Amino acid sequence: MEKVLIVDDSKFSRTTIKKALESIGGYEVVGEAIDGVDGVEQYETLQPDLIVADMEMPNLNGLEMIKRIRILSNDVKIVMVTSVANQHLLQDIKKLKTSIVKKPFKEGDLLQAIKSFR
Amino acid sequence: MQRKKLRSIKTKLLVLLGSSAAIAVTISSIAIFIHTFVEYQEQAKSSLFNTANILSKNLSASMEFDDKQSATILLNTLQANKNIEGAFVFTKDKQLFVKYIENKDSSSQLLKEIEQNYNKHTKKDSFTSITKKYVFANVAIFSGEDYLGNLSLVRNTNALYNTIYKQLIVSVLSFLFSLTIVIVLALKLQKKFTSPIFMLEEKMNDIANNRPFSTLVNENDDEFYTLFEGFNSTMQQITQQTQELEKTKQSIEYIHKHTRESIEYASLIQGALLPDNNIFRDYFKEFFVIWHPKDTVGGDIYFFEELRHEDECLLMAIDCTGHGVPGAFVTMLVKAIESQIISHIMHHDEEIVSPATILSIFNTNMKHLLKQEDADSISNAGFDGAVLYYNKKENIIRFAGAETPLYYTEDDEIKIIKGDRYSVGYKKCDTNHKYKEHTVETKNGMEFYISTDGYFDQNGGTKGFPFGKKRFKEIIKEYHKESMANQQEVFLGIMMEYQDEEETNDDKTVIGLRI
Repeated sequence: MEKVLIVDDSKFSRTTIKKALESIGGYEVVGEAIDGVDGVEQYETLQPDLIVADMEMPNLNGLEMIKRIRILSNDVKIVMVTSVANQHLLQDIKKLKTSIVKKPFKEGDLLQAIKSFR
Repeated sequence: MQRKKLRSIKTKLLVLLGSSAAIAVTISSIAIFIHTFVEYQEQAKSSLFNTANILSKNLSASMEFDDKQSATILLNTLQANKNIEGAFVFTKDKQLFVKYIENKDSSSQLLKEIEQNYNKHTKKDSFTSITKKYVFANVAIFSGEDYLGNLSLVRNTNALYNTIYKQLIVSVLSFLFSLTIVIVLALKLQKKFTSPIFMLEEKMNDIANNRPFSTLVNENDDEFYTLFEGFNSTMQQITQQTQELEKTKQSIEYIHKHTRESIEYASLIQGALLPDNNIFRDYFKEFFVIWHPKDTVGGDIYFFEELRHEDECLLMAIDCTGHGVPGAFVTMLVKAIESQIISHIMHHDEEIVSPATILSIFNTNMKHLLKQEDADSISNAGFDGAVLYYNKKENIIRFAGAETPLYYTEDDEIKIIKGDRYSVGYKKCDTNHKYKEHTVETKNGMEFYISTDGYFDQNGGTKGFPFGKKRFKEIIKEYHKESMANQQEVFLGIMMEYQDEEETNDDKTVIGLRI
């Protein structure tokens, strides 16, 4: 089982992501963070294999959070689930070895993004 | 589907003709050989019997006078025939009278075999028989009516079997020759019968591989003539129809391309009618707008206008008749009327902005412009929609709805203003209908939601039922405290999950505002 940390300020999104991961199978959600700062802290504590994060979050947005996490680890797999359509921003995210899933997403979209790391 | 392994008709025909002819030749060759074999045996027996008969007549005198010397001389004449193995003359008491032996060593053997032959017959019988090595002929010797004895003549079968062996070789050679001719004929026949089939097959392959079709040259004088004629005629018809279809397809593609381009351009125009959503920020702490036309253009539209001073604004969410191009046409008409209304408000500083009056103006103008006051009018367009006036200085919202509700939160409670159960502009609508106006005092943190029926009526779920207003209210109840950006994701995500593979029914517009 791969350990997963979900970082999203939306309860609905966290639940949807968790349900999708349970449905895909092989993943255990070990933590849920509600913003970027919480996400970095929980990453350091839990050391998950996969992070599924939102872009728009209070305190610290998804992009800044990933930058901080990439300083700590270049190996952790990160999927960003976002409704942001700004192409420059999306390019910046991709440069950080991060897959992108557009919101609202279907289970298959998330699975495809996770598989892209293999 | 796995293609069945095919065997060529050429091979099948060759095997059928070849094997049939080979069996016939074989059977006739065997029959001829057996007949020849039996015939030769009968000839050998008959010839020996005739010799024995003649000899017995000459021997009768010698036996009558007991003249063994003359009898021996007579028998010695048999030396001329090398196939005669021996001759034995017996008295009527079965005593050997005289004998002639070609090979002295075989005397006892011959006597033994003659004795076996005798035992099968009476003394006076004349008969012939054949064994593997010898042919026997036995005749009774008479002098007048008096029985004197018997003559047994024996010849070997060497010459007989040599002849039969030669006949066998001739038969085998003629069999092989016949078989060769039969195979050659079978090859010729199969070619004659299969070549038209292969011509047809080649043409069919041409058609299957989209190669140009050329008419089959028909040199047949049998049923293939009719078949070729029918094939050519059918293919000419198909070719003609295909060309016509291709022309029609190109024409449709051309029309489709132009229609698509027109609609895409119309979509740009419709998009230009929509407000810049950043204006919402001047009036509301947070907001979201979901505007999803079912097709490239839609019958849903919304307007957001700053009015006479920075404290007041007007929001309209409108669901015009139908969707797609007809719906978009109505939105244009609605926009024209809306511009007039806004212009009127902007020029009347002191006039109270009334959403109910605005709906009435829409109703009157639409009916007038679409000539729907006349009972015979063929036009029956209109809209359902909501008009919301917000004055942030006075902290009030005035709302009027035509078949469109307003949802809002107050102290964590979800409240609904249902709006009039009366549309705008349809033939059935009264030109002078007065819409009801509702006023809500606003406080910081209150949320307001307007949705067109495209969201409520979307089919989905396990039973394909409409999403419904109850679920809409539950979403607000559960998520209204989250940011408006998150709530937008919630509204979209829940609808996507609910709709699943169901077709989109209608345009969808949902607007959320936080004071």
